[in-house]
Amino acid sequence: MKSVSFRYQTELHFSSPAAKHRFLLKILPPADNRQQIKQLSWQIEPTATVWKTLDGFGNDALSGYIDAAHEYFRFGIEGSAQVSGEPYTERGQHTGALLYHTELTNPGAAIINFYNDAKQSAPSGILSRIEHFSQAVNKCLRYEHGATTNATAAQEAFDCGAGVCQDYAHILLTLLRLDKIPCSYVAGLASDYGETHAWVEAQISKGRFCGIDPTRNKLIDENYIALSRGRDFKDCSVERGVFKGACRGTQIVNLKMEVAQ
Amino acid sequence: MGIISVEHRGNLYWLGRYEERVYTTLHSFFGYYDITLDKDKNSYRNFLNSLEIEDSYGDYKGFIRGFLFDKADGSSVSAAFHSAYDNAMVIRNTIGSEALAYIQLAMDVFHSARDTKNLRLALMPVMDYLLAFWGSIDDKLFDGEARTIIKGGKLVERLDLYFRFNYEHKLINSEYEKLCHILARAPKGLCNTQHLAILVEVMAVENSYKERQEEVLDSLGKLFEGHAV
Amino acid sequence: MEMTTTAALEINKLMTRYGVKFGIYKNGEFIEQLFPYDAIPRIISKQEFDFLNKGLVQRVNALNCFLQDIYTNGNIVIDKVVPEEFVYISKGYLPECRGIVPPGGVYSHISGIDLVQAKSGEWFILEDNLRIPSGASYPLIARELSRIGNPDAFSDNDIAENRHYSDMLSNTMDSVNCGGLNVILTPGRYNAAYFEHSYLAERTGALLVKASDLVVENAVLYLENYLGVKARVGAVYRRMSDEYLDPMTFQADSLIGVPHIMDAYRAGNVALINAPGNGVADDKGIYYFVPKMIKYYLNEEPILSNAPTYLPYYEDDLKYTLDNIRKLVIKDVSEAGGYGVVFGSDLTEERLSDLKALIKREPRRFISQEVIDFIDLDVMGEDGSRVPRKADLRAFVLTGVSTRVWPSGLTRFSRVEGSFVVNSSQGGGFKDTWVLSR
Repeated sequence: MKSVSFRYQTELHFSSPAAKHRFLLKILPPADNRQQIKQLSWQIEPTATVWKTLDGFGNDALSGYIDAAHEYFRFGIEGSAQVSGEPYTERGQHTGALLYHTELTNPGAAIINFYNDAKQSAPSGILSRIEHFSQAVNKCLRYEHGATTNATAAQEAFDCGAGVCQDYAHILLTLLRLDKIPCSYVAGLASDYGETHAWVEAQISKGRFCGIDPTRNKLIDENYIALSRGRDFKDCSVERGVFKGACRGTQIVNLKMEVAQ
Repeated sequence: MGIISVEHRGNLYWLGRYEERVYTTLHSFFGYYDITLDKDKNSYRNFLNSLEIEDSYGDYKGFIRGFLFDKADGSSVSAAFHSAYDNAMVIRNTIGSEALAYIQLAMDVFHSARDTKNLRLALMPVMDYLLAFWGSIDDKLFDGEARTIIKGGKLVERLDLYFRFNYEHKLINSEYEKLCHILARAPKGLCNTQHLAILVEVMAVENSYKERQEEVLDSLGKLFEGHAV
Repeated sequence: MEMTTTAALEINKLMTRYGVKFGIYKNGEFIEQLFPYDAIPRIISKQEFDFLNKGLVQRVNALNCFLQDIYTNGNIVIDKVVPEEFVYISKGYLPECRGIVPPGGVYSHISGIDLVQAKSGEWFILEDNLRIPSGASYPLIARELSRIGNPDAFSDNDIAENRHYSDMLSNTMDSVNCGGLNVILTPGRYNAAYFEHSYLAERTGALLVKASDLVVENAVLYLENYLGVKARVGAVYRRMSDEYLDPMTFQADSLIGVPHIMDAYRAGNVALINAPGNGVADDKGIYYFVPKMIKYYLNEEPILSNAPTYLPYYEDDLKYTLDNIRKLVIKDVSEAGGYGVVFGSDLTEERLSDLKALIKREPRRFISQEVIDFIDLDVMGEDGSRVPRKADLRAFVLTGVSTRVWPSGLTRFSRVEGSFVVNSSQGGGFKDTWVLSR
């Protein structure tokens, strides 16, 4: 276990003032055996009516609204945690939908072929098998901003040959699900990563999951703090909002994470 | 007592206005129609003038076809009918199926009158059904707030048309008094007091609405644009 | 049962007067039309209804158990009575609803169960509708108007009352209400069943609202009046699909939903009627398993039968389906409203082999069924003559404190000779359903 302090903030600027703004923020890191949350506070600006809620994937979330017209929306968290260097999380036995594809992870013929090839040389031990697929994903994509959007499905990113952490995670989910390994998408914070990061947790035995980062091709460690889990990006989007009278403009993300050595 | 949302209030108010627009427009139309029989085939133009509608109908037959029955013509009676129906449909549970049925009946008779020879005779049941509609509102709409809004809409429209048709002061004044009577019982915040003040000021001086028509029509139209208090 | 042409005409005139309509979209334009009504009622004997009643209550109770199980422990899946993928791949399964046990443990408050009667007299369940089954308002108003148009029929026969549907519905709403108003949430005027939304609101005294009238604060749902004054809402009979219900949880671009309504629901502060996520239980694939559910949850033998159904997912059923495709009806499990249904006998050789290939490729996507030659009912032609037309029955089963079957129902008939497609969206008409009280 290491002490980790983290601070994360996003600021949205609207093209024209937004009113009747309703939002849902999945920015509260869960406490579990891998990450023990010691301190946590959140900030939302301008002043909003906020309440805590829970989603169907077990994530804590903040719901709220701002009725008055506003030109920016800022939200963030700050806190500290004790984080394990081991990648394992105990998560209960119900895997439900985690074994099945979603719109974003549904494979086309190309990924299925890719999976069949990768499977040939896959070791049989569960953990090394997961690492094997993660490595395959890491090699098939080039890290590139702007090549994909947050609505890009695994197959599209695969065809494109480039993407960001979200795309790496989606393709790995696709492969693992094809391989009948229940797995979830994880959105979270990682040190040396300027924005929110995404990785994968795969079940290695009943109720026990292993976190793996296909973008960096490694198992997760104390440099990772999970914020939410789901079947894919859609279940984990940090911020959802509806409002009247504006368009989303620019977005600035500030993230700082320090691991005590 | 029901809870009237912003949209619901709009539907009640506009139902009142459109129903009244159909009724008073037809009423006044009959007067001009009578003149066209043997006195002046072009008297419909005066009618259009009062309503500030340009004469795109050519002659009085085209006027009847278009102004009465052409739904696509935004100023037609048919269009007003459809707008009334659209507003009524969504508040069936407030006004009741019976009141809604009277609009349906009036509309059905109205549309079937298009191809008859004796227009006035064929349209008479329309007026009957419209009156039955208001009877049903009076009789069965127990929610006082809803009744105030729908009748407010009706009187706003009636006064608007009376002003435009330059009806005599006495007649206008009695409708104005009805409106005041309703507003006296309206919940706080329903009526826009600023615009009411203008209306009161104009009505205090006989016939001053003739000089201040634009202003008074504007205030009348905004009378129910109330805001939270 | 005598029904004269004059009486039939009178009743239809009344239906016009009261605007008994439904909407359809034709070439992208919304058109409202009268729902074709045939004044000759379907008649169900008391004995027959008592039998149906028992079977329907049993079925709906089992379906409610299934829904609770699926969204909590999933025992039926763990025990392998229902294969896991039939649940979790289903479009109707909403993982967003996991862990929610609604007020009273009721998921399907209003169930519309479609049945047909075979020529042998035996009844078969064709489909369960547990999301937002519509149609009850039509026989409800038809009865009201038939009593005016054809009074003799009611004094001469012992016909069970059906006008208490609105009370049954109010009771159902009251029984799960979490404190506050009952409202009916409509997506708006341009919905196929708008007549029903507004008519049921009038009859039950619930307020008819749109999403823009509602607001959630601290996980409590409120109705807001035009002055901004809020009143708490305790039960929402929502007439819009799950995916539009809450842009914070489901489709993010939904403009007709209520943001955060799922927060209020999950917190137990409001009842949603029916529960979101019910689609997992009325999926055409899950249908196959309903008799097994009855045994599993209730430890009873199913009273009502399914139509003989095969799941190409199972090897044997796939073989049977492919070998007998000509005499079977094939249904795409992801479609509704009579779409995605093909009769093997209607297809050319070429299309048959295409379909076979598709079934082989995606066996989970289809079910096949024996075609039930269901009975024709007499329908009155324009000249007063009677012509036979295929008809089904949608029974309405309401669950609150207990489960009750409405002693009536929506009988839908095809207006095309020989056709089995009775859906109103595809031109079908309806009849009142008389249950005899003696």
